[in-house]
Amino acid sequence: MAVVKNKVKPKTKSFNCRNCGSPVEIKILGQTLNVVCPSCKSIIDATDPNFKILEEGVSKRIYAPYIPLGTRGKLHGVLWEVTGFIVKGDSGYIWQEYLLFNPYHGYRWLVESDGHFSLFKRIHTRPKFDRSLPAYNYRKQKYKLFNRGGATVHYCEGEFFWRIKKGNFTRVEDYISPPFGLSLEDDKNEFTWTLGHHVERESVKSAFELDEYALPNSYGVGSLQPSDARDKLKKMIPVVLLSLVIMIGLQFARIMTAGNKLIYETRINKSSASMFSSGPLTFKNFKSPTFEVSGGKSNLMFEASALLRNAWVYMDILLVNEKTQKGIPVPIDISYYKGSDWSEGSTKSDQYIFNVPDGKYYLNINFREGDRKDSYKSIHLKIYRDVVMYSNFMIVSLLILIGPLVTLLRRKNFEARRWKNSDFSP
Amino acid sequence: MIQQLPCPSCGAPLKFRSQATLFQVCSYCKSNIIRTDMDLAKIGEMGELPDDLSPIQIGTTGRFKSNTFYVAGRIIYGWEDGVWNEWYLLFDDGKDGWLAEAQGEFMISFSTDSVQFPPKTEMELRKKINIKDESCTVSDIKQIKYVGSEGELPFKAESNYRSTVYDLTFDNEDMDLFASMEYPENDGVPFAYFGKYVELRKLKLQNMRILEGWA
Repeated sequence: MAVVKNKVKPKTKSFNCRNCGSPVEIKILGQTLNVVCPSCKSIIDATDPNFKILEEGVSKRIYAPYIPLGTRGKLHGVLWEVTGFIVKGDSGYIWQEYLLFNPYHGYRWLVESDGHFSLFKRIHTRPKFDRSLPAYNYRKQKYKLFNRGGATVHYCEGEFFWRIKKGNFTRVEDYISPPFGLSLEDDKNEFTWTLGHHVERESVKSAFELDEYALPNSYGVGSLQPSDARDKLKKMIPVVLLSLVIMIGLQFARIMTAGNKLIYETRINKSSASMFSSGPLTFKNFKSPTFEVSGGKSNLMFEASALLRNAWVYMDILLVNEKTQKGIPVPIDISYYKGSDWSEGSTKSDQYIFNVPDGKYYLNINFREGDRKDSYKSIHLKIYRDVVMYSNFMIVSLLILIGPLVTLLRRKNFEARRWKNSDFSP
Repeated sequence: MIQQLPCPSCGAPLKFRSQATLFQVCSYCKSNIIRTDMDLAKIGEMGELPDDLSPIQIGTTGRFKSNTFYVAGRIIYGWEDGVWNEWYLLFDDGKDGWLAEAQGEFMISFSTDSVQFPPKTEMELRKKINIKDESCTVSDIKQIKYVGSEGELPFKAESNYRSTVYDLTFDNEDMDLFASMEYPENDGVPFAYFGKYVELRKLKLQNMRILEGWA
C-alpha cells in the first residue's frame, strides 16, 4: 500500500471585491458559499465565477467582533479558526455568533449572549417533543423550553457555508438542560437542530489568547450556565448521607450499649415546720442514704417530678462522693403554671451531669419554694446511670444538614435568576 | 486481489483493487479509463478538480464498525449551494460503500434495496419513507450534477450526469442514521444509500491528507 505523506498547503482564492476593489480571500474552498468583503462588508457569492455582489455593504463597521476573524484557539482540545462573525437580534435583544472551523472537525458556532458563551454543533435527528412542559427529549435528557422567538441577521463578516442575508429572519426556539442546550432554527425550508453546551468565559479568553478586556463582562445567569451550587450539592450529597448514616449508626450503637439503669429513687415528702405547728408543710434539708454508682465513667440523669400547679420549687442538689467528700452541684427547677387556655413549664424536670466516676455517693438537697406551697406534697426523684442522649445527635445532624440546605437555597436563587430571562419560567 | 494494468493512454500502472472497480481516472495523465471484460479503454479526460480542504484523500484507510476500508476513489457533485465529495470505500470484507463529505459533516453509507421507491412526483419535503424498517421523512431536496472524479469507481462516471437527491431524517434519534434516495434524470432507475453520520476521529483514519497549519 502506497503511503502518501505529502503535506498539502491549503490553497486559498483571492480576488478583488467588485464593489470596492479591495482584496478578498476565500480560505475554506469547497465549502464557502458566501464571503463578506473585509473592507466594504458586501456579501459576495463565492461560488460565482465573477464573484457577484449579493448585497452591497456599507464600509462603516457597525459591530466589532470580540474575537477577530482568523483568530485560532484550542477549545476542549480541538483547534478552531474563527471564520465567520454574525450579529443577530430579536426585538432589541442582541447576541453574537462566531462560526468556527477545523477541516478535520467541521463547523461549530460559538454563541455569546450577555457575556455568556456556549458552543453549538449541528445534530441530524429530530428530538422528541414532550407536550406536557413543553420540552424536547434528546438522548435521555429533557430540555425545557427557555425561549421562543426569532433571529434576524443584523451584521456579518467572514465566510459562510450557507447563503447569508442581512435582515433574514428565522424562527428560533431554545431548550435548556444546563449546561446543555438544544436550539431549533426554522427558515421555512429547513429545520436545523443544534446541540450546545456552556463554555466558561475564561476558557474562551485563554483559548483564543484574548486580552483581559477583550470579552464583555457576563451579566446575570447564562441560560446554559451550570450552577456551581448544583455541582457542590452533587458532591455534598454522598458525604452528607455518609455522615448521617455514621451518626445514626453511632447513635444506634449507643442505644444498644447504654446502661440506662435506675440507680437511685426516692420520694421526698414535705413535713410540718415543727411538731407543734399547724402552718403550711415545707421541705426540710434532705440527705440521702449512700448509693452505688457503677458501670464506668459516664453520665447521670436526674429526673424530678412534683404534682405542683401554679408554683415552683428549686432543688439545690449536691452529689457528694463519699470518699473524696467532693460535691457536684445539680440544680433542678420544677415550675408549672396553667391558666384556662395556656400553660407554662412542666411538672417534670431533668438535669444531666457528665463524666461521673464510679463510687459511693449521697445527695444533699436544699429546697426553695415559691407561693402556693400547699398545692403539692412531695417530690419524686430518680437517678439514672449511663443514659442515651439525643440532643448531641440532633445538633450534629443539623450541623451536617446546614451546608446542603444553604447550597440548596443558593441553587434555587440561581435558577430563579436564570429563568428571569425566560418567558417560560416553570 | 489487486490487479495492475497499464494505462492505455500513457502506460502508467493502474491498480484495480476490486472486482467492483469499473472506472478509474489515471493519476498521471488524467485519462478516464473504463474496464470492460476484455481490456481497458480511454473514454475521455478529466480536468482539474476544484481545490478544497478535505482531510480525506485516495489511500486514506479507516475502520467502520468492525471492518477496515480503503478510500479508492472520489466523485465530486455540485448543487445549487456548492459542491460535496463522495469518497468511494472498499472494505476488507469485499463490500463497498461511500463516505460523503458536505459542510464539514461526514456520513458513511451503503447501497440498499430495503426501500420502496415512490414515484418521483410524490417525492416532496416531509414525505414519509420507510428504509431498512426505520421511518424517516424527506428533509432536503437537491438537484445535483457531476463535477469530477478521481481514482477507482464502481461505475462509469458520466460527465453530464444529473439527478435529484432526497436526504432523509430519521425518527430514531439514537443512531445518527443517514440515508438518501437518488432519482437520476430522464426517469433513470432510482437507488438509495443507508448508513450513519460519523465523526472522523472515531474512524481510526490513517494516511489522511495532511493540511499544513491544521495537522
